[in-house]
Amino acid sequence: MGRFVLRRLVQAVPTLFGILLLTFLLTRLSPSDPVALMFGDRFNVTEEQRQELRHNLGLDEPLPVQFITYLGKVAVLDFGNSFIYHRPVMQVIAERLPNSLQLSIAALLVGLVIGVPLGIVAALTRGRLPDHVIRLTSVVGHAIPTFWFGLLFVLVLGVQLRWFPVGSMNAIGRESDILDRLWHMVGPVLTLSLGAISNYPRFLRTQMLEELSQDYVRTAHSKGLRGRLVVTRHVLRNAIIPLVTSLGGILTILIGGAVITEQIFNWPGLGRLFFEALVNKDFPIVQANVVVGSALLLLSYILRDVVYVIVDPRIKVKA
Amino acid sequence: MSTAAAHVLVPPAEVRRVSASFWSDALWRLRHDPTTMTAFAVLFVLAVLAIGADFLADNFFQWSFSKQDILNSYGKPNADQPAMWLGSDQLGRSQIVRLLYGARVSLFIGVFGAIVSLVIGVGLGISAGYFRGWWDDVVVWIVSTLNGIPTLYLLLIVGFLFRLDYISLAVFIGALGWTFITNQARGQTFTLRERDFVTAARVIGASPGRIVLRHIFPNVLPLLIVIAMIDVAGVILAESGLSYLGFGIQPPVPSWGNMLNGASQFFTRGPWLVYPPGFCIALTVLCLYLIGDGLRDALDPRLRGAK
Amino acid sequence: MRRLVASITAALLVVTACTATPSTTPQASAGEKPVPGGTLVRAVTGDPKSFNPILVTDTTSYRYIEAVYQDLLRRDPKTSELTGRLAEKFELSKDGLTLTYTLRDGLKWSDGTPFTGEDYKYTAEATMRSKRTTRQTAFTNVLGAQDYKDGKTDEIKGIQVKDGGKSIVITFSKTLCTAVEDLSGAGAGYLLPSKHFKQYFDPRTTDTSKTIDDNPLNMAPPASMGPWVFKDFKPGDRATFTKNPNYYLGAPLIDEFIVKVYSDAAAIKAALLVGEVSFAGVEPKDWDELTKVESLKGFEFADFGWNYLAWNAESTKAPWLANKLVRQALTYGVNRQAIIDKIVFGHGKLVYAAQPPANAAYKDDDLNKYPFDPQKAKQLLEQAGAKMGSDGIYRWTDGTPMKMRIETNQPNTVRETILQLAQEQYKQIGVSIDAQLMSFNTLLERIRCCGKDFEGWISGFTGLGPDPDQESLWHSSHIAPNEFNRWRYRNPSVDRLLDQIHSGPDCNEATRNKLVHDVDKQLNEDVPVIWLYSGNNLIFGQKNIQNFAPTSVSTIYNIEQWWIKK
Repeated sequence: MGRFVLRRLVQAVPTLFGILLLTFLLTRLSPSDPVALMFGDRFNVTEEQRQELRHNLGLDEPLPVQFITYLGKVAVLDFGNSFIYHRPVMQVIAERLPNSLQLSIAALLVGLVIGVPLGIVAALTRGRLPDHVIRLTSVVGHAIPTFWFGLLFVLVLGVQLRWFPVGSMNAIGRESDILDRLWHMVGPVLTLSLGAISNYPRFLRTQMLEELSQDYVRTAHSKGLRGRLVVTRHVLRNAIIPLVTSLGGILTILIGGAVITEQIFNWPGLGRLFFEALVNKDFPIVQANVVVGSALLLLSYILRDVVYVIVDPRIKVKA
Repeated sequence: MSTAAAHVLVPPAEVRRVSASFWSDALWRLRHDPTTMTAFAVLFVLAVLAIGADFLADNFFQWSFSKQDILNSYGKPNADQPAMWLGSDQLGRSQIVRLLYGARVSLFIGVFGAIVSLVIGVGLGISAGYFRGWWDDVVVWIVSTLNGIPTLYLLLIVGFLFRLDYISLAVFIGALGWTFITNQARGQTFTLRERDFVTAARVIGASPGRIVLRHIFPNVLPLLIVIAMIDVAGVILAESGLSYLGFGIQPPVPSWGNMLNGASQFFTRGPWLVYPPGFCIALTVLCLYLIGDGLRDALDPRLRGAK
Repeated sequence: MRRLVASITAALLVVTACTATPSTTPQASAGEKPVPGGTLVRAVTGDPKSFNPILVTDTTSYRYIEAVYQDLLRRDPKTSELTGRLAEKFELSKDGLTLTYTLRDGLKWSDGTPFTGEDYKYTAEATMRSKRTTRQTAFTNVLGAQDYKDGKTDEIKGIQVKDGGKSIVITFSKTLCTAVEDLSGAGAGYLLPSKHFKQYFDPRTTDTSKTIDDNPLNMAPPASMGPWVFKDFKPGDRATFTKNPNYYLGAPLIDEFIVKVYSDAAAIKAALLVGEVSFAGVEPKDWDELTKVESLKGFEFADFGWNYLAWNAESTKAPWLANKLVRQALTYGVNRQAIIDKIVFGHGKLVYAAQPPANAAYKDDDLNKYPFDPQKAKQLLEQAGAKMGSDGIYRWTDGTPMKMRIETNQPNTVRETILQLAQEQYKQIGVSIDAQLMSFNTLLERIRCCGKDFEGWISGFTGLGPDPDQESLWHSSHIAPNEFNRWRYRNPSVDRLLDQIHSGPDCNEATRNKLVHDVDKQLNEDVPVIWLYSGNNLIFGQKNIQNFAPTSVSTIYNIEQWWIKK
């Protein structure tokens, strides 16, 4: 198993390289002059200072040299200073990261806890009322734009009816109150996991029906095994394997979708940081945010593959 | 949000050889699927309205999408005047007319963006699957790189750095959303190229171009049609999210997304401005998903039982 | 407080200290015994750029800074007279060339260090050496300030600290009518604790590469002269302060002060409704709804500022903007009354020239009011030489269609809406507008003087008073990088008037006010910018906060006396 994980990590290196290349090129090939971006809202900048910064940043070097320098800095997690906060970028990111992880992990769990049982119920009641209801709601839920869902949650349930808080992580003065935190998480987590909640039932249902029509199920039935046992022992296990594969897509949504969700719910996480940094042209933060977001995504892909190996007995780890 | 949202939907399809009667069978099945036909009808109506937006605005509503009536801003919906059926916004513009033009923007970007990603995705996918070797490695590398970056991040950065009109926006969304198509097309091609009929073609000396066009592409097509529908939906969702954040279509050109941009600010004075644009997005996307589902069932008889 | 023009509102809903009469009188809470304790929460829409006043110009940052730092003088919250804060008295010599501030007795920073004139001098010198500040204009006439900036000396000779730190004597090369107020914050507007900052920037040097611009204390004030002491700052969320036992007016009754970030005005409104926020500025559209709420009370003041649509008279793409008739036409072409009625819902006043209506020097009876008149606008355009094209867009004398950009910042619903309104109304008079939205910082960068690649933009000024001196906005000598005459307004007769208002020799109020109105008359004719309106400041607070009585001058001037009634 250790070897397998190691191999996946090594395989991730070219991908990481590609990501770094892309983020590098995005800022270098943009129509805005990086030096102008770096100075941001600074006044009193003379042409000499611009030249000096250009030189200090190595912007007068050829692009490949610049890229190698950039790689070297990324390797030691040095993304420079934020233009807005005047502090090391990694510090700012590290402050926000836990807030974002709270949301995405919770959203993943909520998606599974709600989505998987619904999928099973739909498959087992195929063609009957519960099946129809679940399928209808999940296809509708999947079609609703997440930002609109979040917006309505805040406006209707928060501002208008005042059932839920309208944003932020805690009520003032209840920073260490876990219940209060959970209460504030309802909106953003539901918004983030909307995709998963509506995806899983549809996906799982299809997989289960497919498994149920397999020969081994018929064999099991003919051997006299009871229906429920067959379902739990064999069908579910096999149906869940493709679900694990689909986790990748969900993770992309969780990390990318955080930008909108955190913005709507005023959640001080990486997504909102990214958005604010972009609007304020704080490019070191933007760059670091993309790299960190991508690294998280890569890590979770690897995690997914590991889970996949554990769940699927057909795959033997080459050791 | 991202086009990746759509990907999870499609279960791995069976690889079969497609024959002529296959298509007429599929059509027959589609015709007898009321859900899909309804979705088709709704989408068709939306498309007709979108295409006829200019005509309707001039002749029926008599209100252009940019016409303002600031003294009657935040007009409540009323039945007296067609342009005010859905009320007016903060500048007294007709919401219903703006929704029509929004449909035009959304559908155009959706279709055009999906075409872009299909062309890139299919081209790279089939070629990688067919030729394998170093080319396959390169394609897989690009795919995994793009999959490794949250798509919305890239879209936002591009939307911020370049001021996009709707054509370039469609191109960008499409150009970032093809990885799933590539994976599917590549996988199918992998399997197909080992099939007897492809081997036979190769043995009798058919050129790779001919094999791909005559033997592989037609067999990948059913799957692609299904994906295309879902991809259009994904692009529409991406556009609306981007425009909502202010990085997509810029006012005064209305898009369903940018109509919601100020909605939370206007909520107390004009709650009717918050619901219709979102409903339009959801309805369009829903129809596309239903059509995608219907097409998959029609094109993949094996799954019919699972319906 | 600081009279300097330098503060520009980033978001309209942020409220600045200003003048005029309160519309609501605070309830007297006399006879009740104050209950100490509790937490105050003030809502804002963004993080501070810095806690160092030298480096910021945006009102949001001041919401944080004013909790911890102070200056020497203040405007009386009721009468708006200039009066002492940390200084007990101030004296300007007869010739106007020597200014002496005398400090109060026993002033102490929150950490116990005495507050002295050295802190003042330190702040002045740090401001002069900063490479990121826009706040050096106050020192134009101070002896030796420029030499210090250039590294020729290791101190500002014209600022001397005497009497063991108790008095500050400033010498000028030339009279400056506004010196007393302009210099009360050592240029920066607020004074810094020199003891702590010295470890990062020691002003006794001629090495101009050393600055205060980058050091950790800029984000974490080490000591406080204000009512609150900095505790911590969570970016994107909040800054927390505790009460300052050494505050010169006495320690606050309330224990803790939080400045909390909300994503937008809608979120602030919701937080006010549920009682999470103690007080905040709100947007005009929310006023009606909030006044109906039992637990809240609202205050409305005229503002010492205005919102404008400005034109770049030196733009390459729109040479017509240099033409007075065109600018007049554009002023007639936009319905400003509709903006007041429908976009700020009546919470504002029309403005016709540079003095805001709240100012004592304001007079409008002989000014052109430019009522909305598209026909007149078209006439003026044709008079200026424009010809109507077949597409309904005028052609300028050189044959180019009259198309140009107007830019403004987002998110700012009011300005975005005004922009879209102007776009449509200008289309009616044959001028095509390309509307562009960007962040506030980007906008500032775009319209930096003296670029030629921008045409029109919508923004606002606040803090334009009570002193009527607007030399830095309209004088042609301020057409320079990072200065405020970004519209490139040049009028020699206005320059002369402005010089007199700014540097005397007669600094008498009546004389100056007359000159100020002469300037206004000329500006009203030249319309270098369109004065859209002067928006009122709208502040809401929870009713249970006792002694909460904001005035146009300041919201938190008596914050140490506030207490929360259970």
